[in-house]
Amino acid sequence: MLDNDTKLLNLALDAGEIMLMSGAETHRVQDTMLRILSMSGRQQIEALALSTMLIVSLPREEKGPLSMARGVSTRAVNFEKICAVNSMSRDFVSGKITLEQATTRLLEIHHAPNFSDFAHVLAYGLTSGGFTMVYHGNALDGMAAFVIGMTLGLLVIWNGKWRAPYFFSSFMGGVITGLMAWIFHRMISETQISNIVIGSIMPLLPGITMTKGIRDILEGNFISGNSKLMEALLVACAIAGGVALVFGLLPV
Amino acid sequence: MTEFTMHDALLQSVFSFIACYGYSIICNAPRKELLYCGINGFLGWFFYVVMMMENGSPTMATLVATMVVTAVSRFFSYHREAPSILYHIPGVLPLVPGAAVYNTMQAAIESNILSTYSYALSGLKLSGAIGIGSLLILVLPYRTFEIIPRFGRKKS
Repeated sequence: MLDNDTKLLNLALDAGEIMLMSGAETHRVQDTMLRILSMSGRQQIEALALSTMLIVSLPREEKGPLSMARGVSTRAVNFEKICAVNSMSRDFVSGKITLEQATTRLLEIHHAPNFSDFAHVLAYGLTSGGFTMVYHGNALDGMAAFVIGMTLGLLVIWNGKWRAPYFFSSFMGGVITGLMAWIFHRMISETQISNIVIGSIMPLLPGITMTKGIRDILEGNFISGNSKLMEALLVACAIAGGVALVFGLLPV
Repeated sequence: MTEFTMHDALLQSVFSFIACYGYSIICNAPRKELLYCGINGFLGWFFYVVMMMENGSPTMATLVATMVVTAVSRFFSYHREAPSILYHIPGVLPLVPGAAVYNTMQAAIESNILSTYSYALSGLKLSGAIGIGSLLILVLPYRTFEIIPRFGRKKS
Protein backbone atom coordinates (compact mmCIF):
# COMPACT_ATOMS: atom_id res chain seq x y z
CA MET A 1 0.00 0.00 0.00
CA LEU A 2 1.43 3.32 -1.08
CA ASP A 3 1.48 6.14 1.43
CA ASN A 4 0.08 9.58 0.71
CA ASP A 5 3.38 11.22 -0.24
CA THR A 6 4.18 8.56 -2.85
CA LYS A 7 0.71 8.92 -4.34
CA LEU A 8 1.16 12.68 -4.56
CA LEU A 9 4.55 12.30 -6.26
CA ASN A 10 3.04 9.80 -8.70
CA LEU A 11 0.21 12.20 -9.50
CA ALA A 12 2.66 15.04 -10.13
CA LEU A 13 4.81 12.81 -12.37
CA ASP A 14 1.80 11.53 -14.33
CA ALA A 15 0.50 15.06 -14.87
CA GLY A 16 3.96 16.24 -15.92
CA GLU A 17 4.42 13.29 -18.28
CA ILE A 18 1.10 13.88 -20.04
CA MET A 19 1.86 17.60 -20.42
CA LEU A 20 5.43 17.08 -21.68
CA MET A 21 4.24 14.39 -24.13
CA SER A 22 1.57 16.76 -25.43
CA GLY A 23 4.10 19.49 -26.15
CA ALA A 24 3.72 21.93 -23.22
CA GLU A 25 6.51 24.39 -22.39
CA THR A 26 9.07 23.34 -19.80
CA HIS A 27 8.21 26.05 -17.31
CA ARG A 28 4.50 25.27 -17.49
CA VAL A 29 5.22 21.61 -16.67
CA GLN A 30 7.38 22.70 -13.73
CA ASP A 31 4.68 25.08 -12.47
CA THR A 32 1.98 22.41 -12.62
CA MET A 33 4.11 19.81 -10.81
CA LEU A 34 5.10 22.35 -8.13
CA ARG A 35 1.44 23.30 -7.69
CA ILE A 36 0.42 19.68 -7.18
CA LEU A 37 3.33 19.02 -4.79
CA SER A 38 2.50 22.14 -2.75
CA MET A 39 -0.60 20.25 -1.52
CA SER A 40 1.70 18.17 0.69
CA GLY A 41 2.17 21.28 2.86
CA ARG A 42 5.94 20.75 3.12
CA GLN A 43 8.73 23.23 2.51
CA GLN A 44 11.54 22.99 -0.06
CA ILE A 45 9.74 20.82 -2.57
CA GLU A 46 11.43 20.54 -5.96
CA ALA A 47 10.09 19.82 -9.43
CA LEU A 48 12.38 19.79 -12.43
CA ALA A 49 11.49 19.24 -16.08
CA LEU A 50 13.95 18.82 -18.94
CA SER A 51 12.94 18.15 -22.53
CA THR A 52 12.85 14.36 -22.01
CA MET A 53 12.82 13.78 -18.25
CA LEU A 54 11.09 14.76 -15.03
CA ILE A 55 12.42 14.82 -11.45
CA VAL A 56 10.36 15.54 -8.35
CA SER A 57 11.49 15.43 -4.74
CA LEU A 58 9.86 15.90 -1.37
CA PRO A 59 11.92 16.32 1.83
CA ARG A 60 10.38 14.56 4.83
CA GLU A 61 11.85 15.01 8.29
CA GLU A 62 10.26 11.89 9.81
CA LYS A 63 10.98 9.23 7.13
CA GLY A 64 13.77 10.70 5.03
CA PRO A 65 13.52 12.46 1.67
CA LEU A 66 11.54 11.00 -1.23
CA SER A 67 12.56 11.56 -4.85
CA MET A 68 11.38 10.13 -8.16
CA ALA A 69 12.42 10.52 -11.78
CA ARG A 70 10.79 9.56 -15.04
CA GLY A 71 11.85 9.53 -18.68
CA VAL A 72 9.45 10.78 -21.33
CA SER A 73 9.91 9.52 -24.86
CA THR A 74 7.09 9.61 -27.40
CA ARG A 75 5.67 12.95 -28.36
CA ALA A 76 2.53 13.99 -30.24
CA VAL A 77 1.25 17.53 -29.88
CA ASN A 78 -2.13 17.57 -28.16
CA PHE A 79 -3.35 20.89 -26.78
CA GLU A 80 -6.59 19.45 -25.43
CA LYS A 81 -4.68 17.30 -22.93
CA ILE A 82 -2.60 20.29 -21.79
CA CYS A 83 -5.78 22.27 -21.12
CA ALA A 84 -7.39 19.34 -19.30
CA VAL A 85 -4.38 18.63 -17.06
CA ASN A 86 -4.05 22.35 -16.31
CA SER A 87 -7.63 22.68 -15.13
CA MET A 88 -7.34 19.37 -13.22
CA SER A 89 -4.34 20.70 -11.28
CA ARG A 90 -6.19 23.92 -10.46
CA ASP A 91 -9.23 21.99 -9.21
CA PHE A 92 -6.96 19.75 -7.13
CA VAL A 93 -5.13 22.66 -5.51
CA SER A 94 -8.32 24.57 -4.74
CA GLY A 95 -9.58 21.46 -2.94
CA LYS A 96 -12.50 20.66 -5.27
CA ILE A 97 -11.32 17.07 -5.91
CA THR A 98 -9.42 14.62 -3.74
CA LEU A 99 -6.20 12.79 -4.58
CA GLU A 100 -8.07 9.66 -5.72
CA GLN A 101 -10.46 11.64 -7.91
CA ALA A 102 -7.52 13.53 -9.42
CA THR A 103 -5.77 10.24 -10.26
CA THR A 104 -8.84 8.80 -11.98
CA ARG A 105 -9.41 12.06 -13.86
CA LEU A 106 -5.80 11.99 -15.10
CA LEU A 107 -6.38 8.45 -16.37
CA GLU A 108 -9.50 9.62 -18.23
CA ILE A 109 -7.52 12.50 -19.78
CA HIS A 110 -4.79 10.09 -20.86
CA HIS A 111 -7.27 7.86 -22.71
CA ALA A 112 -9.43 10.67 -24.09
CA PRO A 113 -10.11 10.36 -27.85
CA ASN A 114 -8.51 12.76 -30.33
CA PHE A 115 -9.89 13.99 -33.61
CA SER A 116 -10.56 11.12 -36.03
CA ASP A 117 -7.92 10.11 -38.58
CA PHE A 118 -10.15 11.42 -41.38
CA ALA A 119 -10.30 14.87 -39.75
CA HIS A 120 -6.51 14.83 -39.37
CA VAL A 121 -5.94 13.97 -43.05
CA LEU A 122 -8.34 16.73 -44.12
CA ALA A 123 -6.64 19.18 -41.74
CA TYR A 124 -3.21 18.40 -43.26
CA GLY A 125 -4.69 19.14 -46.68
CA LEU A 126 -6.20 22.43 -45.49
CA THR A 127 -2.93 23.53 -43.88
CA SER A 128 -0.77 22.74 -46.91
CA GLY A 129 -3.22 24.22 -49.41
CA GLY A 130 -3.88 27.28 -47.28
CA PHE A 131 -0.20 28.10 -46.78
CA THR A 132 0.50 27.70 -50.49
CA MET A 133 -2.18 30.31 -51.16
CA VAL A 134 -0.78 32.54 -48.40
CA TYR A 135 2.69 32.46 -49.95
CA HIS A 136 1.62 33.88 -53.35
CA GLY A 137 0.59 30.59 -55.00
CA ASN A 138 -2.17 30.52 -57.63
CA ALA A 139 -5.31 28.39 -57.37
CA LEU A 140 -3.73 25.40 -59.17
CA ASP A 141 -0.78 25.43 -56.75
CA GLY A 142 -3.25 25.48 -53.88
CA MET A 143 -5.14 22.44 -55.16
CA ALA A 144 -1.92 20.51 -55.78
CA ALA A 145 -0.73 21.34 -52.26
CA PHE A 146 -4.09 20.23 -50.86
CA VAL A 147 -3.62 16.77 -52.40
CA ILE A 148 0.02 16.61 -51.26
CA GLY A 149 -1.02 17.67 -47.76
CA MET A 150 -3.58 14.87 -47.52
CA THR A 151 -0.93 12.36 -48.63
CA LEU A 152 1.42 13.73 -45.96
CA GLY A 153 -1.36 13.32 -43.40
CA LEU A 154 -1.78 9.65 -44.37
CA LEU A 155 2.01 9.21 -44.15
CA VAL A 156 2.23 10.79 -40.68
CA ILE A 157 -0.65 8.66 -39.36
CA TRP A 158 0.84 5.51 -40.88
CA ASN A 159 4.26 6.32 -39.39
CA GLY A 160 2.63 6.90 -36.01
CA LYS A 161 1.02 3.43 -36.17
CA TRP A 162 4.30 1.56 -36.45
CA ARG A 163 6.29 4.11 -34.38
CA ALA A 164 8.75 5.14 -37.07
CA PRO A 165 11.76 7.19 -35.94
CA TYR A 166 10.81 10.87 -36.31
CA PHE A 167 13.85 11.62 -38.45
CA PHE A 168 12.76 8.97 -40.97
CA SER A 169 9.19 10.28 -40.88
CA SER A 170 10.31 13.81 -41.76
CA PHE A 171 12.67 12.53 -44.45
CA MET A 172 9.88 10.50 -46.08
CA GLY A 173 7.63 13.58 -45.90
CA GLY A 174 10.23 15.59 -47.80
CA VAL A 175 10.67 12.87 -50.44
CA ILE A 176 6.93 12.56 -51.04
CA THR A 177 6.46 16.34 -51.19
CA GLY A 178 9.26 16.76 -53.72
CA LEU A 179 8.12 13.82 -55.85
CA MET A 180 4.46 14.84 -55.99
CA ALA A 181 5.27 18.52 -56.61
CA TRP A 182 7.49 17.45 -59.51
CA ILE A 183 4.74 15.22 -60.95
CA PHE A 184 2.17 18.03 -60.66
CA HIS A 185 4.53 20.45 -62.38
CA ARG A 186 5.06 17.95 -65.21
CA MET A 187 1.31 17.44 -65.66
CA ILE A 188 0.24 21.10 -65.36
CA SER A 189 2.96 23.50 -66.40
CA GLU A 190 1.31 26.59 -64.84
CA THR A 191 2.12 25.32 -61.34
CA GLN A 192 5.33 26.41 -59.65
CA ILE A 193 7.36 23.79 -57.78
CA SER A 194 8.73 26.28 -55.23
CA ASN A 195 5.27 27.54 -54.22
CA ILE A 196 3.88 24.03 -53.84
CA VAL A 197 6.84 22.74 -51.82
CA ILE A 198 7.05 25.76 -49.48
CA GLY A 199 3.35 25.49 -48.65
CA SER A 200 3.23 21.71 -48.40
CA ILE A 201 6.10 21.27 -45.95
CA MET A 202 4.54 23.80 -43.54
CA PRO A 203 2.67 21.21 -41.37
CA LEU A 204 5.86 19.12 -41.13
CA LEU A 205 8.25 21.97 -40.25
CA PRO A 206 9.23 22.05 -36.57
CA GLY A 207 7.78 25.52 -35.94
CA ILE A 208 6.49 24.56 -32.49
CA THR A 209 9.78 23.03 -31.39
CA MET A 210 11.82 25.97 -32.66
CA THR A 211 9.63 28.65 -31.05
CA LYS A 212 9.58 26.79 -27.75
CA GLY A 213 13.35 26.24 -27.90
CA ILE A 214 14.06 29.94 -28.38
CA ARG A 215 11.65 30.83 -25.61
CA ASP A 216 13.27 28.30 -23.28
CA ILE A 217 16.72 29.74 -23.97
CA LEU A 218 15.58 33.31 -23.46
CA GLU A 219 13.97 32.28 -20.17
CA GLY A 220 17.21 30.63 -18.97
CA ASN A 221 16.37 26.91 -19.46
CA PHE A 222 19.47 26.30 -21.53
CA ILE A 223 19.48 22.49 -21.53
CA SER A 224 15.94 21.97 -22.80
CA GLY A 225 16.23 24.99 -25.09
CA ASN A 226 19.38 23.69 -26.74
CA SER A 227 18.04 20.16 -27.19
CA LYS A 228 14.81 21.52 -28.70
CA LEU A 229 16.73 23.74 -31.13
CA MET A 230 18.88 20.75 -32.07
CA GLU A 231 15.77 18.67 -32.70
CA ALA A 232 14.24 21.45 -34.81
CA LEU A 233 17.42 21.76 -36.85
CA LEU A 234 17.56 18.00 -37.38
CA VAL A 235 13.93 17.77 -38.53
CA ALA A 236 14.31 20.77 -40.85
CA CYS A 237 17.45 19.20 -42.34
CA ALA A 238 15.63 15.88 -42.77
CA ILE A 239 12.77 17.51 -44.68
CA ALA A 240 15.13 19.59 -46.80
CA GLY A 241 17.26 16.49 -47.43
CA GLY A 242 14.22 14.55 -48.59
CA VAL A 243 13.20 17.27 -51.04
CA ALA A 244 16.82 17.74 -52.14
CA LEU A 245 17.19 14.01 -52.85
CA VAL A 246 14.26 14.14 -55.28
CA PHE A 247 15.33 17.37 -57.00
CA GLY A 248 18.91 16.19 -57.20
CA LEU A 249 17.90 12.97 -58.98
CA LEU A 250 15.09 14.25 -61.22
CA PRO A 251 15.58 16.71 -64.09
CA VAL A 252 13.77 19.96 -63.18
CA MET B 1 9.47 41.06 -53.06
CA THR B 2 6.20 41.58 -54.91
CA GLU B 3 4.00 44.62 -54.28
CA PHE B 4 1.15 44.07 -51.86
CA THR B 5 -2.24 45.70 -52.07
CA MET B 6 -4.85 45.78 -49.30
CA HIS B 7 -7.01 43.37 -51.29
CA ASP B 8 -4.14 40.85 -51.51
CA ALA B 9 -3.45 41.27 -47.81
CA LEU B 10 -7.02 40.45 -46.82
CA LEU B 11 -7.27 37.50 -49.23
CA GLN B 12 -3.99 35.99 -48.01
CA SER B 13 -5.05 36.50 -44.40
CA VAL B 14 -8.28 34.61 -45.03
CA PHE B 15 -6.24 31.70 -46.40
CA SER B 16 -3.99 32.02 -43.35
CA PHE B 17 -7.15 31.65 -41.22
CA ILE B 18 -8.02 28.40 -43.04
CA ALA B 19 -4.48 27.05 -42.74
CA CYS B 20 -4.21 27.84 -39.03
CA TYR B 21 -7.66 26.33 -38.41
CA GLY B 22 -6.38 23.13 -40.05
CA TYR B 23 -3.13 23.21 -38.10
CA SER B 24 -4.92 23.49 -34.78
CA ILE B 25 -6.88 20.35 -35.71
CA ILE B 26 -3.52 18.61 -36.35
CA CYS B 27 -2.43 19.76 -32.87
CA ASN B 28 -5.68 18.42 -31.32
CA ALA B 29 -6.87 21.74 -29.95
CA PRO B 30 -10.21 21.62 -28.10
CA ARG B 31 -13.12 21.99 -30.51
CA LYS B 32 -14.51 25.22 -29.08
CA GLU B 33 -11.12 26.96 -29.32
CA LEU B 34 -10.47 26.21 -33.03
CA LEU B 35 -12.12 29.45 -34.20
CA TYR B 36 -9.91 31.57 -31.96
CA CYS B 37 -6.73 29.82 -33.19
CA GLY B 38 -7.82 30.65 -36.74
CA ILE B 39 -8.47 34.30 -35.83
CA ASN B 40 -4.97 34.49 -34.38
CA GLY B 41 -3.49 33.13 -37.60
CA PHE B 42 -5.48 35.71 -39.58
CA LEU B 43 -4.18 38.56 -37.41
CA GLY B 44 -0.58 37.33 -37.55
CA TRP B 45 -0.37 37.27 -41.34
CA PHE B 46 -2.42 40.48 -41.70
CA PHE B 47 -0.05 42.47 -39.50
CA TYR B 48 2.96 40.92 -41.26
CA VAL B 49 1.70 42.05 -44.68
CA VAL B 50 0.76 45.51 -43.43
CA MET B 51 4.21 45.94 -41.90
CA MET B 52 5.79 44.73 -45.15
CA MET B 53 3.84 47.43 -47.02
CA GLU B 54 4.91 50.13 -44.56
CA ASN B 55 8.48 49.13 -43.78
CA GLY B 56 9.65 46.45 -46.20
CA SER B 57 11.90 44.59 -43.78
CA PRO B 58 10.83 40.96 -43.17
CA THR B 59 12.57 40.80 -39.78
CA MET B 60 10.83 43.92 -38.49
CA ALA B 61 7.49 42.71 -39.86
CA THR B 62 7.93 39.30 -38.20
CA LEU B 63 8.85 40.94 -34.90
CA VAL B 64 5.78 43.19 -34.86
CA ALA B 65 3.41 40.45 -36.06
CA THR B 66 4.74 38.07 -33.39
CA MET B 67 4.21 40.71 -30.71
CA VAL B 68 0.63 41.22 -31.87
CA VAL B 69 -0.04 37.47 -31.98
CA THR B 70 1.44 36.90 -28.52
CA ALA B 71 -0.55 39.77 -27.01
CA VAL B 72 -3.76 38.52 -28.60
CA SER B 73 -3.13 34.94 -27.47
CA ARG B 74 -2.52 36.03 -23.88
CA PHE B 75 -5.71 38.08 -24.10
CA PHE B 76 -7.63 35.01 -25.37
CA SER B 77 -5.95 32.93 -22.68
CA TYR B 78 -7.43 35.19 -20.01
CA HIS B 79 -10.88 35.39 -21.57
CA ARG B 80 -11.23 31.72 -22.55
CA GLU B 81 -9.41 30.31 -19.49
CA ALA B 82 -6.98 28.13 -21.46
CA PRO B 83 -3.15 28.08 -21.70
CA SER B 84 -1.84 30.80 -24.02
CA ILE B 85 0.37 28.35 -25.98
CA LEU B 86 -2.83 26.97 -27.51
CA TYR B 87 -3.41 30.21 -29.44
CA HIS B 88 0.24 31.20 -29.76
CA ILE B 89 1.47 28.25 -31.85
CA PRO B 90 -1.10 28.47 -34.70
CA GLY B 91 -0.75 32.25 -34.71
CA VAL B 92 3.03 32.21 -35.10
CA LEU B 93 3.00 29.40 -37.69
CA PRO B 94 2.58 31.58 -40.84
CA LEU B 95 5.65 33.56 -39.74
CA VAL B 96 7.89 30.47 -39.44
CA PRO B 97 10.55 30.82 -42.17
CA GLY B 98 9.60 27.85 -44.35
CA ALA B 99 10.69 29.68 -47.50
CA ALA B 100 14.16 30.16 -45.98
CA VAL B 101 14.47 26.39 -45.44
CA TYR B 102 13.44 25.74 -49.06
CA ASN B 103 15.77 28.39 -50.49
CA THR B 104 18.69 27.14 -48.37
CA MET B 105 18.11 23.62 -49.66
CA GLN B 106 17.79 24.83 -53.25
CA ALA B 107 21.04 26.81 -53.01
CA ALA B 108 22.80 23.84 -51.43
CA ILE B 109 21.78 21.57 -54.34
CA GLU B 110 23.19 24.09 -56.79
CA SER B 111 26.46 24.15 -54.76
CA ASN B 112 26.05 27.90 -54.30
CA ILE B 113 27.78 28.19 -50.92
CA LEU B 114 27.35 31.96 -50.52
CA SER B 115 23.56 31.86 -51.09
CA THR B 116 23.26 28.80 -48.84
CA TYR B 117 24.79 30.70 -45.94
CA SER B 118 22.85 33.90 -46.58
CA TYR B 119 19.50 32.07 -46.76
CA ALA B 120 20.30 30.02 -43.66
CA LEU B 121 21.27 33.17 -41.75
CA SER B 122 18.11 35.00 -42.86
CA GLY B 123 16.11 32.02 -41.57
CA LEU B 124 17.93 32.22 -38.24
CA LYS B 125 17.28 35.98 -38.08
CA LEU B 126 13.54 35.43 -38.59
CA SER B 127 13.49 32.69 -35.92
CA GLY B 128 15.24 35.06 -33.53
CA ALA B 129 12.67 37.74 -34.30
CA ILE B 130 9.88 35.29 -33.41
CA GLY B 131 11.58 34.39 -30.12
CA ILE B 132 12.31 37.97 -29.08
CA GLY B 133 8.88 39.20 -30.17
CA SER B 134 7.09 36.60 -28.06
CA LEU B 135 9.39 37.17 -25.08
CA LEU B 136 8.82 40.95 -25.11
CA ILE B 137 5.11 40.32 -24.55
CA LEU B 138 5.49 37.26 -22.29
CA VAL B 139 7.45 39.25 -19.67
CA LEU B 140 4.50 41.60 -19.16
CA PRO B 141 2.61 40.78 -15.95
CA TYR B 142 -0.61 38.80 -16.29
CA ARG B 143 -2.65 41.79 -15.01
CA THR B 144 -1.96 43.72 -18.22
CA PHE B 145 -4.42 41.52 -20.05
CA GLU B 146 -7.17 41.82 -17.45
CA ILE B 147 -8.06 45.43 -18.34
CA ILE B 148 -11.26 44.31 -20.04
CA PRO B 149 -13.30 42.13 -17.67
CA ARG B 150 -14.54 38.73 -18.79
CA PHE B 151 -17.91 38.92 -20.46
CA GLY B 152 -20.52 36.38 -19.48
CA ARG B 153 -18.05 33.84 -18.02
CA LYS B 154 -17.43 33.82 -14.32
CA LYS B 155 -14.17 32.67 -12.75
CA SER B 156 -14.54 29.08 -11.59
